[in-house]
Amino acid sequence: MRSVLRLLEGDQTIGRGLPFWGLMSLLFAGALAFGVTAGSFAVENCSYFLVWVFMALGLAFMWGLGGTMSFGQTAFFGIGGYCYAILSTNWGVESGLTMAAALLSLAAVALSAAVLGYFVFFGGINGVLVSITTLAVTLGLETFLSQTAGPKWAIGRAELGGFNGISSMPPLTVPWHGDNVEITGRSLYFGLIIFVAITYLALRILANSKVGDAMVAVRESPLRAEALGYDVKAILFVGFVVGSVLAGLSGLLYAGWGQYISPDTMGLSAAALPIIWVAVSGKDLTATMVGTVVLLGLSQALAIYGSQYALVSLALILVVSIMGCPKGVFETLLRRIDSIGGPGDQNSKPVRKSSLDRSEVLL
Amino acid sequence: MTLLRARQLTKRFGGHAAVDRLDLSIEAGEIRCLIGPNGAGKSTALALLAGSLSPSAGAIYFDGSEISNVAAHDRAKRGISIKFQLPSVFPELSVRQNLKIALSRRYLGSELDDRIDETLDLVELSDQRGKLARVLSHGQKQWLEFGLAISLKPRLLLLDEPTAGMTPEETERTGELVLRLNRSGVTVVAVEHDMQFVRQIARTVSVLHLGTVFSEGRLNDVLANEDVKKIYFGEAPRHG
Repeated sequence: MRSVLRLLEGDQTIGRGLPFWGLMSLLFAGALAFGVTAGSFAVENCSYFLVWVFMALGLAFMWGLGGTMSFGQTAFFGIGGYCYAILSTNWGVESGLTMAAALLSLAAVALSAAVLGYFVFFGGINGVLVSITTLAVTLGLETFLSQTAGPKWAIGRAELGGFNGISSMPPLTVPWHGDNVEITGRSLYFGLIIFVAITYLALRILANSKVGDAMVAVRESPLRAEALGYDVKAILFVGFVVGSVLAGLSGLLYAGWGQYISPDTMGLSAAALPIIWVAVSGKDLTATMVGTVVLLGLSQALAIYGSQYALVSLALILVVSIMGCPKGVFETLLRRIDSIGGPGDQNSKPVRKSSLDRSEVLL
Repeated sequence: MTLLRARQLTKRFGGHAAVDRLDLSIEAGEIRCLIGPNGAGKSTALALLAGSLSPSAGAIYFDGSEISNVAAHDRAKRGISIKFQLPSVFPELSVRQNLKIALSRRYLGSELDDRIDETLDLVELSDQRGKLARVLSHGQKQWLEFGLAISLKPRLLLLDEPTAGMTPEETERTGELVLRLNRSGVTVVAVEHDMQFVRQIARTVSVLHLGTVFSEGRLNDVLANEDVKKIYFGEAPRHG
C-alpha cells in the first residue's frame, strides 16, 4: 500500500511535498464547503462543470502522457450518454438498475474504445492520423444519431430522437432501505467531488507507475521505447482505452445530471472543446483538473455577461493564453508553485556514490 | 557456441536489395565489427538483427531460436539491445528520467535509484542528470544512448556507429567501455567507420559490400586484401 501511495508523486506529475498536498486539501475542503453553503443553482451548475472533468482528465492522460491526441473523446462521451439513456429508460429506477445501466454503459464504452483502438494502433495508424481517424468516427456518430428521428429509431421504450436526442431518462439512483434515492442536486455534487478526487489520485498513481513510464517513453521516442522492450502498440492502445472510458464516464454522468443527451454533444465544436481545455490548462493532470473547471466557469460567465462578444472574448483569452504560456496556463503556474514548495526532485539531487563498484553493478 | 546467426538474410526496398542473402555467424562472447563503404547495407543489417526492420527473406537465429518474425520489443526482452546511429534518446526528459524509464523495467525503489546513479557515473553524465536530453551535446547524447542500450543488461549489444561525432578521447573511452562490457560476457556487433576504434575493440571484422559479406577475418589481414581496398574506392567486382 505504501509503495502505491508513493506513486502519487513522481516524474510524470507536477506537485510534491507538503505545500502541494496542503493546497490540494484546501481546494478539496473549499469545494465541499461550497456544496454546503452555496445556493442550489450554483451547486448544480458546478456539478455540470465537474461532469466534464473526467473527459478532460482522460485526454490529459492519453495526450499529455502518451502523446495521442484524440478527437474521439466526445464520441465516447456520446456512447456513454446514449447507452445510459437507453438502458435507464428501459429498465427504470427499481433496485439500483440505474447503477447497473451506468456500469453497462461504461462497459460498452470500453468495448467500443477497444475495437476502435485495436484497428487504429495495431493497424499501424499513428501520429496525426490518429486524430483524423478519431475525428471521423466522432462526426460519423453525430451524423448517424442526427438522422434517428421518428418511432422506427427506438430501442425498447427509448426513442433516439434524431437532433432532439433522448430526454427524461431517470437520474442515477441508489437503493436505500427499500426506496430509491435520486443522486441529484447536492448529493450529485458531493458524489462528483469525491469521484473526481478518486479519479485524479488514481490517474496520478497510474502516471507515475510503470504504465506511465511506458507511455512517456512511447511519446518521446517510439523507436527507443520499442528497443527498450516496450510494446509500443499495446501501450498506445491501453492509454487510449483508459482515456476513452473516462470520456464515457463523463457522458453517462452528463445524461444522469441533465436527463438529456443529444447528437450535438458529439459535433465538431464539442469535439474541439476538451482539446482546448487540456491545451490551455496544460497537459498535466492537476493543471487539467483545475483548468477545465475554471475555463468552463469563464466560458459560462462570458456567455451570461458578454452578450454577443462572448465567443470572441473567449477565443481571444484562449489565444493569448496559449501564446503567453505554450505549456498551458495552469501547468506553468503549478510548476512555479512546485519550484517554491517541494523537497526538490531527483533530477537535481547530488550524486550518491553506491558502495558497489560501478562496473560490477552494470556489467 | 553460436549466439547469433543470419542465413540468407535479405531486405529489399522496392527493387533495391540493401541486404542481399547475408550469411553471418557470431559466437557468444565475441566482438565483431561490420565495416564497409557507405551503402554497403551495414546499418540495415543491424536494424534487421534488432527487429527495427523485418526481412524480405532469410532467417535470423538467436541462441538457437528463430527470431525472424519476433517483434523488436520481444527481442529486447530476450537480450538484444541496440544503440542507434542517430541518438534516439527521449529529448524532452532529463538525463536521469531517460535512464529511469529504461531501468524501471527491471528495478524498483532504492535499487532503481542506485542503478540510475551507477549508469550516470558509467556514461559520465552525473553532472548532467537534471538537464533535458535535447540540450546535451552530440557526444553526450551518444553516451546517454549508450547508457540506455546497456541498461537492459543485454546478451547481445548491437552498436551502429557508436563513436560518430565523438572526440578521439571520447572514442577511446567508448572502446574501453565496450571491452569492459565484453569481458563481462556481452557479445558485441558494431558497425563502425573509425578504424582506430575497430582496431581497439575487434579481433574479427566482416566487410560488407552490396548487402552481403565480402570478406571476413582479422582486421589487418582484411585491410591488406587488395579486393577490400578496391571496394572502398568503388572498384570491386560485383556479385553475380
